[in-house]
Amino acid sequence: MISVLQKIFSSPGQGSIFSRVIGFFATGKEQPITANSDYITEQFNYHRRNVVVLITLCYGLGYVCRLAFNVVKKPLMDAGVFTPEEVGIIGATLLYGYALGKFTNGFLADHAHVGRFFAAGLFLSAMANLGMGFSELAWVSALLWGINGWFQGFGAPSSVVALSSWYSNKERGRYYGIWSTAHSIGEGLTYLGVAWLIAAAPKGLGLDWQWGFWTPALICVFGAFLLWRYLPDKPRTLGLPTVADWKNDHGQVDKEHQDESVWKTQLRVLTIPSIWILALASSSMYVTRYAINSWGNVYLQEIRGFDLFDANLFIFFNTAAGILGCLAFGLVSDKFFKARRPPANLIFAILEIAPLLVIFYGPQNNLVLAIAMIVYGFGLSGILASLGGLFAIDIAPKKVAGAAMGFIGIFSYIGAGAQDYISGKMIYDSEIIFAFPHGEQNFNIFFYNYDKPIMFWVGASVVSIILASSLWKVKAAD
Amino acid sequence: MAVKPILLSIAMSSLVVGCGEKAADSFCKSHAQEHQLHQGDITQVNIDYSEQGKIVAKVKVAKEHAQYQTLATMANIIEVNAVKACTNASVDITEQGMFYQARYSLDCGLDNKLNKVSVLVLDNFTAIDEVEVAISTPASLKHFVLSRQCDSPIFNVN
Repeated sequence: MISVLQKIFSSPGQGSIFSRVIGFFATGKEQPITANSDYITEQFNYHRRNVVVLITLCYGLGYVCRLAFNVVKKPLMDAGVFTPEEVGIIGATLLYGYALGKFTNGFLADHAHVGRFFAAGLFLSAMANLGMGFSELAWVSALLWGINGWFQGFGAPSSVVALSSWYSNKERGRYYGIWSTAHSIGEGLTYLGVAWLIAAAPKGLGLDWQWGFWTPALICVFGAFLLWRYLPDKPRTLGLPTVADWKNDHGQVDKEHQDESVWKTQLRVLTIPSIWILALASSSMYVTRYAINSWGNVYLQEIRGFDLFDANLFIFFNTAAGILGCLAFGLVSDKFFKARRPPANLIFAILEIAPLLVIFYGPQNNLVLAIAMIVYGFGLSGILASLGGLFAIDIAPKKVAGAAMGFIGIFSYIGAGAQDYISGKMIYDSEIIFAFPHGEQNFNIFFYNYDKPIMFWVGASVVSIILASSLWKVKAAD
Repeated sequence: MAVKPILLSIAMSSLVVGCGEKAADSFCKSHAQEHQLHQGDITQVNIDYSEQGKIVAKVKVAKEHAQYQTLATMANIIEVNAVKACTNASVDITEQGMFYQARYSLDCGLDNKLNKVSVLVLDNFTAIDEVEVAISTPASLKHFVLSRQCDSPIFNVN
């Protein structure tokens, strides 16, 4: 299959409509390097400024089209459009689509004009959101949202390819950090912005739930336009040298495995038991992560009685604290534990599980809830950075670190997707409808019990840390 | 060039959102803040579903809006659809000035699963335009207003 794709990408732009479309999205041919060094510097400065701004802004805007469903879950359930079980299935399809997208789009992005590829993903994601606003059929919404998951998977690999094309080895970490803030920009825009549109007055505009999809669609079309217009192809296609040549910043080449196939590299990961345990640990932690992101605001409205805006504000606290958690984990594990991740994993797991217990079983006080959300977000992001990233890279031989990350990523999103369905099913099973008929019409008020889902969410975190702690003595590979 | 249609659609959307509001929509959106002005005059329904499986529903309704005979029959006010049948049904009605205060109680048992509880006050008393409802279950409490003018319940009532 890979050889077929390679063939298609290697001769784009000729023949059938299909190959012309492929040609449009394929990276351009390398051009002779211009001799004018001032021009080269000017072009690099111009494009590098655009690249970091565009991928950060547009990846953030893309998040709005990914998370919109989480905000409108409760209005959809209240209006009787979907049951919690259907909501769970729809939410899960996005995560499965995203897991698939993570697998396929990384390969495609390497061969693509990332400006067009990323723009297409964002535009098609916008169309999926537009369709969601018109759909009241569960299977149609599940299909649209699943496809949206795959389109959402265009963004990260495109951004990473753009980062590696326009920033050299020594500066990439800095720019990667800037790009990483896109998660919080996107989650902030969604949990505050979209919630503001839907929340009842005076806190919000009180628009119908459909606007929770249509507005993100407009935002993503705008983002797609910016990317299509301004995000450049690779420097060599513009007659510029590679960034490594321009910056004179060349990395080491692994000659031994330079010619090894991707499949061989990926298969080698499957032979490492610690990677399997880590994948299960990460998958369990993703259960909790996506449970809170997907169902947290519904729980806060249903059980704690918050309005839609306030409920989403509390969820925003946890995502905002996540930025600090990511940064702190690396610092703590490097400085205090000599780059050993298991002790830091345990500390951050306690910081994640203890506030979860406070959120669900603690005092019903808004300040306590806000603090617990912040500490939870801090702890969760730290341990996720380890289980899905740092620790995985430590355990895996460096030459297969990328494959290990991909393997753990797929496991994680399968866990997240399964969680969405299981949570929805458990919530739906507890449903009691209080109906107030009047003539032909009916006011239906839905009541749910979250006791079992909460045990599932907290239990998943406990399982995760038990699994991660079982790797206490595992040493970093070379 | 491609910006124009985007700006146009944003402007059109704003017009639709801003100018398309009907009077009933306006009432439904603003009533949560204004409800307290007439709270004492309207029908009140309080339902408590306890952890022990007991349902107690209290209905306070103006005499001019309800007939005693209709109130005295539980099936006219509350119907419970559960996995196991509920028992020990009882009705108690007292008069308080211009209002009837009715109390309905049922024992649905500890291990029962309620599917649907129908409250028939709007269906059987057509003179009632608005009802204020508070329902508590072992998991949560909801307080809202139902108005015949609105398509959906009004939450976050002051």
